[in-house]
Amino acid sequence: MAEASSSITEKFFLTLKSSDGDEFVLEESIAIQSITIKNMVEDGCSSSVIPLSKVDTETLIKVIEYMKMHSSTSSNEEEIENFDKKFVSNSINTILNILEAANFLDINNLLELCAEAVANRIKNKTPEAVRKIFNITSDFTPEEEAEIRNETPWAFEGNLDHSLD
Amino acid sequence: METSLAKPKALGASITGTSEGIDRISYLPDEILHNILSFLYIFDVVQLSISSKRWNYICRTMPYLHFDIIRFGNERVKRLWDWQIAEKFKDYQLGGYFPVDSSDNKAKCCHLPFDLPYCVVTCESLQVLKLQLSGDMLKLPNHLGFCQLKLLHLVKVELSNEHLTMSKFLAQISKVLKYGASMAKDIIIENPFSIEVVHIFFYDPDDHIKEIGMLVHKMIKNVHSTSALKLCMSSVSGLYVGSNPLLE
Repeated sequence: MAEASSSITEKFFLTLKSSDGDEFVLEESIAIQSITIKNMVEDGCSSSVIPLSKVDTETLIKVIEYMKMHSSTSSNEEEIENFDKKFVSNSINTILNILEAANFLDINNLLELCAEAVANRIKNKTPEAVRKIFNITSDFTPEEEAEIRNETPWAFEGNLDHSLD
Repeated sequence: METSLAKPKALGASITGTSEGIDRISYLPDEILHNILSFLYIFDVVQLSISSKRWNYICRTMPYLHFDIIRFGNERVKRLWDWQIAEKFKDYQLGGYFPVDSSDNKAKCCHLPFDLPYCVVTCESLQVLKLQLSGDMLKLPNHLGFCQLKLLHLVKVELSNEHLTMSKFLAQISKVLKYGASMAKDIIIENPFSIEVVHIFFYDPDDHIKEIGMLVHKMIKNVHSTSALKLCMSSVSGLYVGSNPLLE
């Protein structure tokens, strides 16, 4: 026992609770990649369960997967790179959920990764394709839309991509 | 799941979904949407402004402007830069957005300095400004501006002789300064209390190596708050030739 407590590698665990009420136990060293959680730990709020009312179970599982892969103790660079590539191939709504969670949890790398992934699905697409991909409904009248197009006609020309990938 | 989401600060417009699916993205806070758009060039951002009133608002309040006329030519219209493309962007200036002017190197001699327009300098929401002027002269304003600017990235931008001193203009506002030019120039940053990262690179320093070392030293000497300094190889060798103790 004495040995364990004097060991530098002693592990602390935190319990994270999703908005759906599911609890996840995670090593503190992994969880504090989230600045929000780190601040909570430093303020001494970590003895009990940490409620994450803005993150549902499905999203939290993904975020924890990401944090485990990116924690300093495991995985090499190539593994991380492959993981990230696969990670951003999740459905667009999953990515958006993760993005919002990353913003709330303040995990900068994850935020940037997801924001870039979303941007990549917008890049060089026609406005119509972007609307379909994200289910955006225009609340402009055709006249208003034409007026905006006329302000900057060059933005709408070129070899645009009509696909919804 | 989505129905439990709180309504966002509906600055700009109301948000509705289509029958096929829910418009998840428009519910995200402004700052996240701005973050997403920061990965795009300005032409993609401007195009999004017709998507809906909310997106129009998001595009018009973008704190990050990333303009590159060369990329527009290469990636979008698949055409090398020409005057026709440049002409198009002049309309953009009239539209009250970020103005653009550029030329290729050949046209340099007959080109007037690029005046950073007042509306950009005084813009209160602008945080990141990246300029690529293909070797053109940039004329900096003499007065203060850029209340929120965190990063200034100048590539292939020449500073005119009268503006060699970046002076108070940059000093009090920008946290990150990146400057790239073909010729070594004496850049002096006076009073640079807020600048933390300086990144300077010159493209063809052939006979100027010694000079660069001196210049960089002169500039850095007074930068009290700098915590990171990135220099390209030529600048670094310049530093050694100039026997500058900075790299210790």
